[in-house]
Amino acid sequence: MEEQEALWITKALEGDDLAFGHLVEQYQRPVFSLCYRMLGNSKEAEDAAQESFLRAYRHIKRYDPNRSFATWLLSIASHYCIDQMRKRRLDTVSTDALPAEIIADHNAPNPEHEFRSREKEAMIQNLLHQLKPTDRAALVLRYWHQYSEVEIAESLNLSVSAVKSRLFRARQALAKGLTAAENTLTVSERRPDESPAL
Amino acid sequence: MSHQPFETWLLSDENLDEEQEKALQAHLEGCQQCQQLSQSWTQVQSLISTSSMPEPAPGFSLRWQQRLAVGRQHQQQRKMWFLTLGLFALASLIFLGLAIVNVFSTSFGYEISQIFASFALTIARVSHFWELIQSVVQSFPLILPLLVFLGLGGFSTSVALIVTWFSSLIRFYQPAKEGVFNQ
Repeated sequence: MEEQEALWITKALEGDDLAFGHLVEQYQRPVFSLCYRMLGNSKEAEDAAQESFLRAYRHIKRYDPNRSFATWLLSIASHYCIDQMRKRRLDTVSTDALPAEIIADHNAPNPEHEFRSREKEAMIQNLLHQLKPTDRAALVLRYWHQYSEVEIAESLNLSVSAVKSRLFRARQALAKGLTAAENTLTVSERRPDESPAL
Repeated sequence: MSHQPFETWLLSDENLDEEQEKALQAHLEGCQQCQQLSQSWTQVQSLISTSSMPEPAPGFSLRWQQRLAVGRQHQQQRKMWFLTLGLFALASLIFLGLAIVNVFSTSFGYEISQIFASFALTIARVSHFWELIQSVVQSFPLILPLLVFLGLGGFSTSVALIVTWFSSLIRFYQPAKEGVFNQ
């Protein structure tokens, strides 16, 4: 597979559209996943992933074959998503996608499991949206794409120490965010006429 | 209570050595805040590890091909637009250049050149006249005797002619002496 990929990359570097199409097919899932974790909804993630592949296609000549193609591609996607987030300056969960994603699918084999799964997904996205764009990118690359700190540093044009610092800050924010979310949930679950003392 | 370095250890990816692990456990037993942080981080890790990798809707690659085609079309249109704009700018520049050359080469230029020519001609004439005067002045000593001779000759001849003419007139109008014709 690696040989096949190397061949596609070589052909793509020579301007072969079909070879680049194979690379799109190969990497659509990780690129889309990164964009989804960064932007929080499927529609924007699709648009960002498509744009990332277009940018990669246009700048394929800048790709250094000695580096990992996946790292280069995810670096483009990360930077694009960071730019998009900074542009919209709306660091909250998009309201048009998430409600639909946490509604249980009653036609699913196990609706309760499906609901729990979607609830978890919404929780994750809510927590991620509390992070700054670059911190979020570092965390997504670390935990969803299993990138090392060095690879994250290469992808985001940061120093390794800056990546460590950002990852620590992101973990801290996520843990504290989860505690705060649970506390809010506990309070809201109490009946309105119930005494706070109970 | 200080939560460092325990908070860092709790949120670190790196493995702790035995001593650090013991110290952390001892701290957690007496620190509710760090216990809470530890539990929350464990839960977050669990959420991350159990979350599925979202997938794009089917046909992503095809949609990308279509987007690429549209992008190329836009790029082509942009190129054509820039080419048209460039040609228009070039044509405008050429037209402007020709207009400037035309203005300087016909009416305005011609007038300017005529003024310069007249001025140059006047200067040449004045210069020529001055040279003529200078040459006359310079050759004056050579022709002075001749001029004096001619002048005096002319003057004396004129005087002689005038005297002759007056004397003839006086003789013509004087009455004739009696008895000469009656004889």
